Amino acid sequence: MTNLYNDPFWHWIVVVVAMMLLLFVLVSATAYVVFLERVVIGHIQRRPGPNRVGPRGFLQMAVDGIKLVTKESFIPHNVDLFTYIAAPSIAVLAALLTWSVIPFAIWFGGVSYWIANVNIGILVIFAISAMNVYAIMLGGYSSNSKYSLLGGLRSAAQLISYEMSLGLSLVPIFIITGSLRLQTIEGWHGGLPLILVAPLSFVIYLISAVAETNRAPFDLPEAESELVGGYHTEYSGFKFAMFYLAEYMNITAVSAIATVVFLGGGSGPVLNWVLWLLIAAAIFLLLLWSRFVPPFGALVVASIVFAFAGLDTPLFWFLIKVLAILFIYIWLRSTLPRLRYDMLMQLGWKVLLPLSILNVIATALVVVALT
Amino acid sequence: MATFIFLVAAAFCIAGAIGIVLFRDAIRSVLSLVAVMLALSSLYLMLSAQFIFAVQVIVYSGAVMVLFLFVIALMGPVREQPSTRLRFQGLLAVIVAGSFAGLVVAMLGGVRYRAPDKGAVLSTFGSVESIAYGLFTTYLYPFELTSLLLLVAAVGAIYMSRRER
Repeated sequence: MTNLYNDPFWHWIVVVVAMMLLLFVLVSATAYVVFLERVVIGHIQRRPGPNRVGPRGFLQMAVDGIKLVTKESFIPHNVDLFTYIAAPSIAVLAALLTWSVIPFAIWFGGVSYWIANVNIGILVIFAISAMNVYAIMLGGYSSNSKYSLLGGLRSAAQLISYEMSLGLSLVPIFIITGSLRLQTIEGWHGGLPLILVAPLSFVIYLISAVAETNRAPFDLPEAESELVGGYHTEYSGFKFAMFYLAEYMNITAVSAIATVVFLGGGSGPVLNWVLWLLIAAAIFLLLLWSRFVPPFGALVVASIVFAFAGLDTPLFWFLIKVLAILFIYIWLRSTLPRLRYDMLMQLGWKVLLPLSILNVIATALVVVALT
Repeated sequence: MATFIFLVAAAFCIAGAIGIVLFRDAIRSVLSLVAVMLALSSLYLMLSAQFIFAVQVIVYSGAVMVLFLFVIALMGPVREQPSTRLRFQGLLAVIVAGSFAGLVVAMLGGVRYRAPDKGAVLSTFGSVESIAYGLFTTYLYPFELTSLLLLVAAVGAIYMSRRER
């Protein structure tokens, strides 16, 4: 099999097919991230969680999706209609565009195919995630409701504050690997996890990423006890579903970036198919008594299919690592209480920002001393 | 393909620029400005200035315009009233726009295109590496002085806001 990338015609075909696949897989996977969250939180709060629709609640998200799409899309009075409709569209657009540069490749015939392999990969991600602020701000502004507006304003301040520590937390990685290309960072020293080299960066990234995606304990833009639903209070039906989908796609994207940058992406021991099936069976048996079966079970089935289709293991390791980070996010959400607004700002500006600047300086000094 | 992308981006730029001036609603003007910034960034990308493209989106659309939006949302939806305009504003606008257009035409006539310098490596042109190399070698002092200027401005802004309290 020759490298289809080098052919000008097949290049386009590959990119378009990869994009379609990504769109389809991402949207359905996102639904199951929501499901995973509901099941895990249910476990942590010692209740069953969704378990009625389909085997072990497996069809819950499909039913929820149909409900949200067919629901009446109510538009309140005196909304700014153009921005009101534009806001959820921007949210989904930004969430999907982020995935275009994530090296979420399919290894086929010894060649890995990804949508885009750009020199400034991580900067593109920052640029696109900057667009998220517009979705939330415009949603809050156009709804003609004080709760939405307050949620939007809070979120603008929060996202701008935490964007800096998020960006600075990755600068040591650029200094160490000498590249902004995600594929190079992933394959640094044969996929050595950078968390071993820059653990502080990982911690700062994880905390800032929670704030950037408006997740608990930093979910002040939608604090339901104060703001009803924050910026999406006045949204219902499909437009609400778009915001919801975008939120979970962003969380998955943030976890994928953490996987690629800090955990070595798809690197991991290469398994032959016998070991592969054994591991899949072990995971399956281990999970059979827990109620995490549906999401992880899907992963197990997928990995068995990959093993037989001749697709390589990187995708499996990538997915395992992404799921691990997603689990941390869900764990955080169900464990920690929401921060007060001034505490949030203090944490961002007085703790994380100085810490990440010190981290950059220290890393630069060490790298210069070593070379 | 390149011409097509250029035309689309240029159309967005011009439409956005007209929108900034013509919209009475402040938030629409800000959104038009965002459209201009994004279209401009795609033009940078076409000139293979990848880094400038990313920075343009991150800094201008991501930070500066969000602050504009923040202030406007804080003030609430204020519409510009026709009565607050000057009486002879239309005439003034025509004169200023006409002279500016004349200036642009005169400048465009004087543009001289030249071939790239001998020895310039075009494969790395506009990449992060080449810009970083320029910033930390040839242009180190101007670069550091600019950042000092920004620091002074930030400290000044904080001082002003504290004194008012």
